[in-house]
Amino acid sequence: MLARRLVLVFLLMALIGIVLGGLIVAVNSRRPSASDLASARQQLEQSRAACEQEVRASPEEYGLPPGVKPDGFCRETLRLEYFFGDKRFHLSGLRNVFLGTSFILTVGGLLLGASFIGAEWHAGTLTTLLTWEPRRLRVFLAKLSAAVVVVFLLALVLQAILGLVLAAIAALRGTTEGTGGSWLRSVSGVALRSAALAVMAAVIGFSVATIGRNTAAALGTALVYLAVVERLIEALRPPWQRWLVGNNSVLFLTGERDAFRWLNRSMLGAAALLGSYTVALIVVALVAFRERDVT
Amino acid sequence: MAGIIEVEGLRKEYRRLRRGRTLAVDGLDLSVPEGGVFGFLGPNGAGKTTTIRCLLGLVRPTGGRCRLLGADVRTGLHRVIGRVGSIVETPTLYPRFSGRRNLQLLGRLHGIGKDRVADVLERVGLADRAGDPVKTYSFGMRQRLGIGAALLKDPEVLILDEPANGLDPAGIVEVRELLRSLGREGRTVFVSSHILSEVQQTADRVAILSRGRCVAAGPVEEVLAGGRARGLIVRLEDPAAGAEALRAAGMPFSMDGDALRVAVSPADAATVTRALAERGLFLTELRPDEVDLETVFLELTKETGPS
Repeated sequence: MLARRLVLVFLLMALIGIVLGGLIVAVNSRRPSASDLASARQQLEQSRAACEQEVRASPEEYGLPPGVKPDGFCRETLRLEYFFGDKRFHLSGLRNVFLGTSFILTVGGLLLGASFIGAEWHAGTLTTLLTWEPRRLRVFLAKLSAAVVVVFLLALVLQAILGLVLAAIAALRGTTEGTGGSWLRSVSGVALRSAALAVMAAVIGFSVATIGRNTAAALGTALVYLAVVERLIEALRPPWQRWLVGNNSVLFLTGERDAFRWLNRSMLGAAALLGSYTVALIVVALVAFRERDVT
Repeated sequence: MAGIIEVEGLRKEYRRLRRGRTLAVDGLDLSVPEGGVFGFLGPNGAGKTTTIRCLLGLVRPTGGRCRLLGADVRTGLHRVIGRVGSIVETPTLYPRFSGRRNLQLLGRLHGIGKDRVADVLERVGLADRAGDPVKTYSFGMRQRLGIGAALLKDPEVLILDEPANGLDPAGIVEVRELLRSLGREGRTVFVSSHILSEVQQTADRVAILSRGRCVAAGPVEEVLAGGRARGLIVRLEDPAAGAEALRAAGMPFSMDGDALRVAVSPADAATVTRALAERGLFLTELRPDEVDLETVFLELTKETGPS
């Protein structure tokens, strides 16, 4: 199964993307020279002094929290990197990188999941397989499991490679500031949720391709649903937005409940909703797979 | 004793949105005994492939039932599938994988080792090309690989849907020999075909299907005999005198152009020649009036044609 051309092509393209992306980041990431730093330190000192003066004069205007002293506030607010035109790659921004690549992984998962069974239907190899193993439930679950495992591992491995490449660039030409334990937990969470979304997309693609018996049908259906149907629902029935796949996927991925307050749902709630949609689709696909004639 | 393949009142109706309902199999009864080659004949659209798909659990019958090696196909096919090899229409395998790898992948489903795969590739004449991708194979080679896949499980029963399709004359002869040898080994080979001469040369028993129904079944000789009475074709220089001589000898006959069709067993040829020779009439041709399967097939399927 791993030898399937699409998996290999996807893997190859992803690796090329990582290498190219890494090169671009490496070329553009540059640490400041000693004179840049000296000049920046001087500007920083002057700005902090001015800041402390202004904050002391009118703390309410700056929203100074109780118990925080002006010097501490200005030290937190004004940082050295602001004064030397920081061109370093910050590994602390890896979370945002993973949020961006999640879309690619999700589309890739959809494509791979759909092709895992759609290509077999199209080529007719599934007929041959069913003459060797007539228990369709087994065949369906075996293929679905393979799709889930491959897509999940692929998503994790690709993110790990991307993370390692960017970490190396940050260590050599950028900065690893702000990458403590909480950062690692946050980045790992996004990477895992991104992989989970890719798996969900793969299962949806697999299920729709099972029902339509075609990869293209699955991709077309999914894209039309996300790009047209959900947009129409958003426009025509705003209260229904909280049930849409797209919005709940973004909430699940980012975990930023405040940004999606109108969904009135937690990250786990979004995961449960998406999971229930996925399971329902699997059941429909399984019934279709078991009951329909193979002609 | 129950047959290896038993079909009782099998009925399959396809419902399609645009074309409405199509009755592919209409109350088919069939019993295939153990061992030998069983030819399953019928014109295109007679229901042969649908019947085979029902037997292999690919298509759900609308009515009736199928039993394979004693197991009800609907509930127990998985228990006997390891003893059944099959080809349904054109066998489809992974085109980018080699013939060997395709068979190895299938073999893994039933714990079949590489040695068996090599044996099968040898048997179907693909050992030399076993490492090449299937997409580089000719249609005939793919067909042979499909037969190889069917043989992989060393099956007791082979269900083959048009296995000689796309093969060149040498390939057809090879498949014919292969089927015969498989039948002689005691396996039950159920083979559908529209190449009637092939079936006549290969099969021990046949069933003829027309419009989803079995119109004749039994040993090949019986089916042939059932089509038309056997006799002799006689040609001589003066057919009218020959007719007079046969009439005088009390032999039933009919004129067929310049030939006489004598309705006696070919074993009685000497009686015919004697009757003619006694009147000084000498033959230019004497041969059995053999009925081939094609003639029987056409007659039987014509009788059940559209009313």
